[in-house]
This record gives sequence, structure tokens and C-alpha cells, in this order.
Amino acid sequence: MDASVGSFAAFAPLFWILLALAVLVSAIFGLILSYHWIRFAASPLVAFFSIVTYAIGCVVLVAIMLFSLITIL
Amino acid sequence: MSHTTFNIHPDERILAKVRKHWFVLVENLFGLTLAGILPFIVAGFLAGALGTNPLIGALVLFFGSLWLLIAWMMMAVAWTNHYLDMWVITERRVVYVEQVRFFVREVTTLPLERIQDATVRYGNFIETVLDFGTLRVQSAGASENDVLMHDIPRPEEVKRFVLTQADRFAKNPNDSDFKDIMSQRNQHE
Repeated sequence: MDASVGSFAAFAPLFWILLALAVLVSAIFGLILSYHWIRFAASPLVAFFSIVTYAIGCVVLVAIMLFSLITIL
Repeated sequence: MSHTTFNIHPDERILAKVRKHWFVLVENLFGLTLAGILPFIVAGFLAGALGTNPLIGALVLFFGSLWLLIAWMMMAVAWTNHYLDMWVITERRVVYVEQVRFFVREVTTLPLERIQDATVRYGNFIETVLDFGTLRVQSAGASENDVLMHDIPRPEEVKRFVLTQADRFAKNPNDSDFKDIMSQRNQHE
């Protein structure tokens, strides 16, 4: 492997688009899930923790992607 | 009663709510977790061949996290389906609320007076050991009107409860004294 950090700079837009898509899709998904949890869940507490847990997971994973993207580029 | 998406009559009380057994959820989540971390496991095995190039590591982390994010969304769907699928036993009927997919929910109702019998089926070793299985509540008429309760915990207990309520309703459909029902409910819970 002769690849080095920064050698993927030409593909930077592609990576950023992927990251933006991941954020967009997970956010829309989160809104849809939140609607179901708030509208149909019997317990507001369960709905709240479901939303918070989902959001934390997404934020952590997007942060890892962002961090690795900075390293790649 | 916004959470149930079916209309409860003003004088109708919910006696019990039954959701699928926790093992079903754990099984789904375990499979999705395994699928989610698969890229990292594969990368770990290939670490020797790929060397210690930080770029490769960052690429694996980027695409692995993207894959894990998809698995995380699928896990949220699995939890949503698990939590929003439920059987509700009221003093007049058995109602099955099923979350089919996003924005699609089905509500099946079986009035207590139509209940004829109920059968329990344990499908495998794990169901027998953890005491969960399928309860078929048979209704008068065609078998497609039966209510199937898949993967419910303590199906024998639920069966007894449903049949007791059906018997009570058959003896006195206009019974407005719910003391006996509520005491049974407390015992059930």
C-alpha cells in the first residue's frame, strides 16, 4: 500500500456528499421514528428515551465519520 | 387513547396489554449488531495484510461507521416495531395493533362473545425454556378471523386470562361491576 494521508483529496466532494447524505437520511429517519414514538407509544418516557438514544447513536457515528474524513483528506 | 389508535368506549376498560417477548427483540438486535460491526471484524482479520497505514484505518472507520449507522437505523426500526406491536385485552374484546411499516398500522379486533377456544404452541426449545410462544384465539366462523398472538410471554397464562374474560362476558354481557376483573388483572400483572 503506497497510499498516504491526503492522497484521496481528489475524492473529497464524494466523501462530503456521503457524509451529508448520512446526516440527512438519519435525521429524516429520526423525525419519522420520533413521530411514531410520540404518536403511538403509551409512555412518554419510553418515547423520550427512544428518541434520545437514537439521536446519541447517530451523533456519535457521524462524529466518527467526520473525524475519519478529516484524517483521510 | 392516542397510543392505541383504536377507539375505546367510554365505559370500556383495558384489562391487560401484551407485547412480544424480550428475546425476540434481543435476537433481532443481536443480528443487526453483528451485521453492523462486521466490517470492523473483517478489517481486524485483514489487518496483517493491510498493514498499519493510517489512511486505510481511516477509510475502514469511515465506511464502517456509515454501515453501522445504517444498522443503527434498522435497530431503531426493530425497537419501534417491537414496542408498538401489542395485544390489548379489554373487558369486551381482544385487539391486536400491528405496526406493519412506517405510517401503516393494522388494528384487528375480536369481540369476546366470538371467542370459542384458544390454543398455545411452543415452536422450539428456546420458546419452551423462556416460556413464550404463539397463542391462537379461535373465533366463531372462519379460521382467518382467529387472532394469532406470536411470541407472547407466558402464553398459557394469557390464554387462561382471555378465556376467563370470554366466559365472564358470556355469562353477563352487561356486567358493570368490574371488581372481579380488576382483581384478576392485578393477579395477572
